Amino acid sequence: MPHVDEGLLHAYLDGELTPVERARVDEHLAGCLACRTRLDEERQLIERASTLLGLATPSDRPSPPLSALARPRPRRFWHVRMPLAWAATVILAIGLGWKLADTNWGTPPIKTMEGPVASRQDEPAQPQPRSVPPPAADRGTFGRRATRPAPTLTQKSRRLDTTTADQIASNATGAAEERSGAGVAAPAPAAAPQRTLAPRMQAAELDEVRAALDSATARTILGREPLVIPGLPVRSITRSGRAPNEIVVIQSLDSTHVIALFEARHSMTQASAQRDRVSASDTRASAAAKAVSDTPPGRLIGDVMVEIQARVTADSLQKLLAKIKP
Amino acid sequence: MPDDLAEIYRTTYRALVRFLYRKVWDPDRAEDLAQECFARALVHKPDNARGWLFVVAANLARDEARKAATERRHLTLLKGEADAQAPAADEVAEAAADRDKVRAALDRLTPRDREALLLWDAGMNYDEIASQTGLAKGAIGTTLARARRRLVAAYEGSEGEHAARG
Repeated sequence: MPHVDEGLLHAYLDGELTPVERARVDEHLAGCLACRTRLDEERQLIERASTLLGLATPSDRPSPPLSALARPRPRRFWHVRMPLAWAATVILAIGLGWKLADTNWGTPPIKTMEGPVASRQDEPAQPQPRSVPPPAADRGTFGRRATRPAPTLTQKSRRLDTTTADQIASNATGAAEERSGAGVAAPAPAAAPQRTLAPRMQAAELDEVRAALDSATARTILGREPLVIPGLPVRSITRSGRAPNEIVVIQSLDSTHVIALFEARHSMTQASAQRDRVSASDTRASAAAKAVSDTPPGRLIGDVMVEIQARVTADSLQKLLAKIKP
Repeated sequence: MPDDLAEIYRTTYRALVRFLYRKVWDPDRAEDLAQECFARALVHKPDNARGWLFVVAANLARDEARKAATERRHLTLLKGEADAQAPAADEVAEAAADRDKVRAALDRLTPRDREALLLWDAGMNYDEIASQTGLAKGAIGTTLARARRRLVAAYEGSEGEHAARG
């Protein structure tokens, strides 16, 4: 037999030869010193290689029981998809509802004193841009039923008799229209942005909307022109409803805030009594007033007491009040 | 659960982990992949479970290597920083250095030689290695002889280079 090649020697050392092959190799090795020497070399090589591979061995860890590796049967796709589809539907519905709740349908609803607390702080009142003329039908009056904010600070129980108010309004309207554009105290009442009430307001609070007063009637009640904060559009002048000879001037501070100026001759003003009535008879108004201030800031201008309410800080209210020119 | 698979699991699991570790070089990943192999075996119930397991393991490791090659490009810088920040203890560092040298030496082998060597070290016999690698059984001894010689030479060579540099 020729010398044993290295492949055969490795197979011999690995114990992978058949008995017949092994016997033949043994026979050769017995008579061949060179092959025995090589056999030793290959044995050392195998041991060395095995040792080296041992250096690259991960540390032993306890293996989990085989049963722990068994998987549940794969679920049919619709078993997985159906809950996902439901989840997606619910999320879509919530998202849609959220979006719809956030959406202003057409014009934004006018925020009254009952509106959410405004974030606006201490900013000086800026004149509203006057580039957009109001509809012609509204010129000459301070406002109309459909375009006035609901005077939610007043209450039904303290309201003027509607018939009387309507009569005053209808009498006043003709006069006001004749004097269309005539100077009234408001800097530009005709330029006040006209808004439609939100549908919710129209439905629920239309009966609370008071007839507008024209400037002549207002003058009669106050004995002078209604006092306004200069530079802010006047949205309406109405009777306040909380005292017979008190008017309320609603002005826009900005697109979302209004200011209410309660004006009455000082001799007729019984502020504390009025406030008591307000708090006793209308919790909503009371809450709104309380949210602004426990005692709304007031200023005596001439013989007219002006009380200001708006959803801004007390400091801002004082500043706004100070802007009123006698 | 077939009894023979339970027995194969008992005798082969560690070998399969070792085999996988020398391909993915991540002990946790090697364990995961080995368990994945057995989980699949429980589903497929192959006839020659042992050989089948190593075939699946080799395929999983190959897929893993492809993914790792992609990720390695992103991780090279991070790894360098992490190594610099957290020097290992001496023994651990030494073991890691040895492992890295073996890994480098294995990388010097041809894929076929390396596969035969790793399969042998995982406990497979020549028949199984032949079946797995597509080599003739009679060629396995020669292949292993070459693989072992090159592995040792590559390792010693790297040590020689290291000594020469040091």
